[in-house]
Amino acid sequence: MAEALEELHAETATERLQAGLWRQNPILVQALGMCPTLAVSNTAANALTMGLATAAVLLGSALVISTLRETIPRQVRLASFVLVIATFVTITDMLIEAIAIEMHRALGAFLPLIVANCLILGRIEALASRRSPRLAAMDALGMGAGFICCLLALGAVRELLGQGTLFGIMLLPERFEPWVVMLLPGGGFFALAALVLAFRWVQGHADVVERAR
Amino acid sequence: MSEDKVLGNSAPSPQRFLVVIAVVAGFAIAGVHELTRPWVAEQRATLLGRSVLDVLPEAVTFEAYRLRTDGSLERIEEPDAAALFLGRDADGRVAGVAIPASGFGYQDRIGLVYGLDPEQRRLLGMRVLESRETPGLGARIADDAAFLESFVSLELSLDDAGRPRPLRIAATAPAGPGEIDAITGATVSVRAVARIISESLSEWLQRLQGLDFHLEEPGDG
Repeated sequence: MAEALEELHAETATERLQAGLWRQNPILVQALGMCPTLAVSNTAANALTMGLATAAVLLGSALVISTLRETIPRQVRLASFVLVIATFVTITDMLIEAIAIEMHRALGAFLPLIVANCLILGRIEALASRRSPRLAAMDALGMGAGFICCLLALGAVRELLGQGTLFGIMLLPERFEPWVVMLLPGGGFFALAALVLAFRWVQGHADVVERAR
Repeated sequence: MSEDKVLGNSAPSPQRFLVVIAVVAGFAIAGVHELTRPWVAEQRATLLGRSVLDVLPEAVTFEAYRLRTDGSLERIEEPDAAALFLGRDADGRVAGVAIPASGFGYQDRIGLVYGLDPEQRRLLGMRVLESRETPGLGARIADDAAFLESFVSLELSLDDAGRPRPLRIAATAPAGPGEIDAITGATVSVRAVARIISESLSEWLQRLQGLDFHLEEPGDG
């Protein structure tokens, strides 16, 4: 049966890698992990660090859980998943403090909150706990990269419009009046809406081209 | 049924499994904590050292001191939370004293350090050491240029008895003594910084008043 299931979802590692980047993008399509997406995408540097930290936790947890998938008792699988995820989050949090203390300071409470990111738990319940470590790792890499790209795009737009800077470097002329609202929570929703709109538009065009063939 | 086969096929008892992974997780976290501890301590010390020199613009070196209960200063090697830092300029003269202080902000403790001139009339600067304020909003107390600038050479507002009045947050451009800049979107955090420094000043100014800041350079005698 397990083999049949694998057959049914006959997905290659490359397909899994691509899925997270576009077709099943965690932010644009699945709308997972919205809390950090909106909260820490106010500057490009914050968004990039948060994206990298989340992707690292996802990859580590997916590998461990996929390796243990036949050993984990079903009754306590969610507790086990959360325990593994929390361990990786704590380790990531300590590493970031050791390497870049100022970034650790800037992200504040949001790093420990990666534990509660539904993107990670979702991917592990849906995929890593049922597939080989290789596929799980490819899926985690794809999802992680998709998450980083979206977060970085949001962070760049919000920082540029909200402060006139990108990665802290002044880009817009002095007389540009920053749109402070872009740094506020509302700005996160505006930027996300614009990003999803652009994605749907491109996707719509791609579908039309696909059908015309 | 297929899921049962993939997940939890050769499973041990749930309790035993949870205990085992919790123990492994505990060891992993403890291991990484031990491993990163020297780096974290080094990063914190570097940040503190840089901040001390930042808040004392004329200082090129600094020494850490502790205030003894009898009111005299004692040189210490390992600065702790209660330490004072004396900054010295290139000629070895005291360029000011940097005082760490902390208190509650919007979400959690804010730790900062501020510089006081040797005559104890002016603030020389302020830097935030740690905060968990909202990124992009309250967290800007750490890097808003105009806000940080308003602490540089800020004349203190003293009452008749020579006690410092609490810092005020200026509605427009800060002009008078004891007035600091405001940050849009960071009102709570700015008020917290003003309160932390005001409380620390009212505590320290009295204790420092009898003290001769123009100490000999260590090693001179």
